[in-house]
Amino acid sequence: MSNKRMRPTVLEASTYDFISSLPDESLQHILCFMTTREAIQTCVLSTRWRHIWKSVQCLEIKASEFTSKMGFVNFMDNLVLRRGCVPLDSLRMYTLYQHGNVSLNHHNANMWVGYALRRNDEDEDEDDSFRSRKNEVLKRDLRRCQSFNNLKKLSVDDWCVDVDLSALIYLLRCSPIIEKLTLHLGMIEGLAWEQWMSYPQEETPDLSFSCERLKKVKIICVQDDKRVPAIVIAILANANSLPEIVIKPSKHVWRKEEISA
Amino acid sequence: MAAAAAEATIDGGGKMIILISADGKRFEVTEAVASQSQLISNMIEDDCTENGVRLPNVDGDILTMVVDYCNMHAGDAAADGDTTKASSTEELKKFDAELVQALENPVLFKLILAANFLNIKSLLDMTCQRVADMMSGKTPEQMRETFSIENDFTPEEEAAIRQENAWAFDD
Repeated sequence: MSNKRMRPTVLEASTYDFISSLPDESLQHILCFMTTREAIQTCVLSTRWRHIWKSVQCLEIKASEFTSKMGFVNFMDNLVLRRGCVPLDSLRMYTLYQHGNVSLNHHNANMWVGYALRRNDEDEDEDDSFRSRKNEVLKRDLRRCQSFNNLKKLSVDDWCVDVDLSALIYLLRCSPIIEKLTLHLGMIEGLAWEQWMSYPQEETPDLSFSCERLKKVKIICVQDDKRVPAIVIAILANANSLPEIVIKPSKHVWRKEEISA
Repeated sequence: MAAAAAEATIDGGGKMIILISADGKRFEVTEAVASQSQLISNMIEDDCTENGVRLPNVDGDILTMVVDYCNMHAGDAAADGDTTKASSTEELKKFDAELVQALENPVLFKLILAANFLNIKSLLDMTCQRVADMMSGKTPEQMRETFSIENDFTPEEEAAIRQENAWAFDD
């Protein structure tokens, strides 16, 4: 097998623009592996590249790429606006940035997440550093959300169960055809657990929801997370056909407990 | 199945399939190897691989690399309970890393086209990731230089587009 044809001549490699001759779908696939900000910056390369980023279906936004909170917020608002109704496969937001953790506590955060939920079938909302007491805004805005009629898989961290289960239940009520729910319960300090237990709960909170297609619930948590039994009870009370519930330790203890129907 | 009579079998038991590149080179592979390509997997299901599979837009050189890749990876897709394959995960990683590092313009892009056409997701992801890594962290000017992208904007047009998308360029 001659290697000759595989190795381009210096002239060939240095003059022909192979990358731009790839079909749109391949260019979009390439841009999926870059942060969304980098992907958008390809718009100035040439006319071929001008609009390619707009159809990329995986978004990854890192607040660490911005030097100010303003820049990040402005970016997100523009992104949602310019991208319009193009379908979305995944949205990952990393909200930790060099001067602290800001962004998801912003009043527009819910619009961004809501945008993702309405655009797509699968949503991943990964907030690395989004912790309980900062969640009031997001939870309040959640009430204004429309229904997520296309959402089949939802992966969220513990902002939705930080004080009680109401935000999680609300999310489930908005997601009539959800099939798989993954909860990433972070390592919260022992004190926070105590607090979680001692928050004044409603006498008989209404935890009903109807998700007939919910088949699998995965809860990733540290051992003895006291939120888990409450979540499991609430889900089992509402599930018509009992879903498979997998509880998986998030730290190094790989003990797997399965409660299946 | 009557059609199978024309096809050779090997001791692994898998049926053999002939892949024919654009320039007429023939590659004999097992079904397990070939079916990593979703395109070919569908053809196998539809029973239309007896006379060989012609791939008019994949050159022999590129198909050689694709077949090598599929041969290496036949284990992870197919092997259930095959522990000898499972133990070579490290080896596979090394093979992939070396393959991808050695890829350069334009072979890299031809391989992306082939992986896209044949619908081999893992190979497509790996090659696209490589291009993304080559672009990442570069200014648009550096990207143009790396990939010989011809800037067909006038300076005024380019400035206008930058202005329009300033939100993605500003800090």
